[in-house]
Amino acid sequence: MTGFLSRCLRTGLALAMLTMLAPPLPVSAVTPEEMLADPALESRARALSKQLRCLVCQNQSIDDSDAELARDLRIEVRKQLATGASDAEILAALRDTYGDYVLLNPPVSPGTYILWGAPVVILLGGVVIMLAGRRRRTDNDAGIKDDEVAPALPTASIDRRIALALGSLVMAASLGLYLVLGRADLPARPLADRGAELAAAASQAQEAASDRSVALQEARAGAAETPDDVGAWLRLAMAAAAATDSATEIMALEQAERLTGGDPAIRAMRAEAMARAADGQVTLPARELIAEILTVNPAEPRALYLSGLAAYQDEDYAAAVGIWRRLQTLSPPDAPWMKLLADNIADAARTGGIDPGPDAEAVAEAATMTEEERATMIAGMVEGLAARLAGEPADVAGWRRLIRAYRVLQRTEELQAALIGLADAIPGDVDAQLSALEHMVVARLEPGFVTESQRLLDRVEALDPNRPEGIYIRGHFARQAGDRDRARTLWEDLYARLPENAPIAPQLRKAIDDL
Amino acid sequence: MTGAHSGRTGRLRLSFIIPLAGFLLLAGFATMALMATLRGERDMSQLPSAMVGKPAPAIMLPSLLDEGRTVSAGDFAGRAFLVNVFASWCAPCRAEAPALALLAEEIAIMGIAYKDRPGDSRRFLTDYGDPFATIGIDRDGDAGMKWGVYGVPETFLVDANGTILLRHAGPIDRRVLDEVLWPAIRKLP
Repeated sequence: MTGFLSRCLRTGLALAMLTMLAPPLPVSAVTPEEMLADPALESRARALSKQLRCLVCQNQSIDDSDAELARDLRIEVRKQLATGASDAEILAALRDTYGDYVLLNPPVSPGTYILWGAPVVILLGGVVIMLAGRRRRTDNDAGIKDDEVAPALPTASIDRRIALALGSLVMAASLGLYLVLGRADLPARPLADRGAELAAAASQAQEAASDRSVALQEARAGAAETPDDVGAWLRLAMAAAAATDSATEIMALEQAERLTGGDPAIRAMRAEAMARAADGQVTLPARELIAEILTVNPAEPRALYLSGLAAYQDEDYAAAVGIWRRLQTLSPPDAPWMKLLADNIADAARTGGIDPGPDAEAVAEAATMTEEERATMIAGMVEGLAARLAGEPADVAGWRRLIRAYRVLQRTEELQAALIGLADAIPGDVDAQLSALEHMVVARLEPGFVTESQRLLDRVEALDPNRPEGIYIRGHFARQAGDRDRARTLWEDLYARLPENAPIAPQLRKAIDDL
Repeated sequence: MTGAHSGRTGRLRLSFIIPLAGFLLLAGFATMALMATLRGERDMSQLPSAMVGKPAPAIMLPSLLDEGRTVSAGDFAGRAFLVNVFASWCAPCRAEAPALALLAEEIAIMGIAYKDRPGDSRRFLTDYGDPFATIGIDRDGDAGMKWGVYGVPETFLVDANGTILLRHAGPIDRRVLDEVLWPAIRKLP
């Protein structure tokens, strides 16, 4: 049994040694058009290339590497050879710009003494230790003989000889391996075994890509056929997004934008596409676009999301959490982005060390519950919270939570009161005043909140008299109060400020004419 | 007998300790290097640059924005400046655009449009902003090779005498800005 086992071990070891010593396949990345016509110069170029490191891949020579920079260096080497430069001159010139690192065989210099000396020192150290051990044993044997306690055991000396022979063998083998394989210009080994697996994955990916490109072709044809159809351009944008063709996606969205007179939702999609094209970075032009969208529609969810993301990428986590929270309060509870949003807020709060509020996890959890479970959970949360806020009206986070809850529960009057509570808690925040007023208008609750609405309107006017939503709402309340002239003045002023193609312009015109 | 015995263990211990100490020393170096990489202090992709301390290559490049003119590092004689090697096809170059805009408020930046079609470079500037004082076209990467560039983006700081003080390979993020570039720029005379 043991004989069999040791035979297996030995065969395995021999096989392993054979694989290690097998000559690697002569692969090279040199392409025919790079080669020099003169075979002597070309062979010098190849020899030089094998000594030069590809600085991008770092563990391949430029002769092996497909990297762009490796190709440039190969061409540079050949250019210089053609001018009659010597090998040493070429290596020295490259070393000047790229440093010693470009040479695969580092030069012997004070900085590399350890590197070059270490193998010799270690080898000599091993020899010294072995010799010392051997002398010690013989000394010891002599001692035993002198004392004549026990005769030298022949078996022990055989063991020592075997150990010594094995030790020398290992050392000679490692030296041999080092001399054979310890070469800088040894080419990289291809991934031969994984070839089939890689090919299968590649063909699968290609199939999926060709499906997507067919869909893209169809969408492109559709848009070309009906260039006045917004839907066709949007379909093209979606197909392009699936095929990760950002340029086409952005172009299609621009067309759709043009047809809709700058619809904020479509512009926000374009901002998102721009960010996606830049690997998720919200770039400067995307930020400018987002800012424009938010002045037209401060509640555009996609633009709000991106603006939070921009703050997050600026490492302004407090702002990111603030913006995303606002999006949370504005979104319907079953909006598809709620889960992502809750996760993002929790992440930003954690990274920025901000208190996410005690209910952040509960809200994230709520996103995965059924409608009924969620309603029950929120109703429970609400009762205690409302009672507490009556006593602590300065708790901004509390008001936000209460507002979110009432929105979900669709308790309009309580929601209005909570919105006013938040507006009073942060009287310097125009957005808070405006969202309380906006809700009053949308839910037609003005008569019940006369003093409150006046207070909020005064604040909005004092804080930001030019804010379009503020002007519109002031006009609305003026009309409610019967002051048609003031309403007309305000709305005409707003109408003059609106960009030419603002989607709400016709509605506003009609409202003014109806006065 | 006892003397011989204790001498033997003493030597045995020494022949055991020397290789062990050698091994521990190597392991210690390896651990230090590994920890530095994990902490982000040591970046395997940051190769030591041979260009630091050398004069900036005075290669003349056609100007991207003023047709018919040429630009070179010599244009900045007498003042310190940054050189930023970029390309429209390089995603990290987009990411560092805000950082370059910040830097441009304090120091002139010479752009080298590396292996890029001039039209694409110009579009890149419209999309991501133009922080550059001058921009040279390096269509086939020759200038890049003179600067020892091995990937875009790369940024060099050159002092008033035209000597390269610093080189950063890779995009400029907030950490690079705060810990590398601002301190180096503030140290300029």
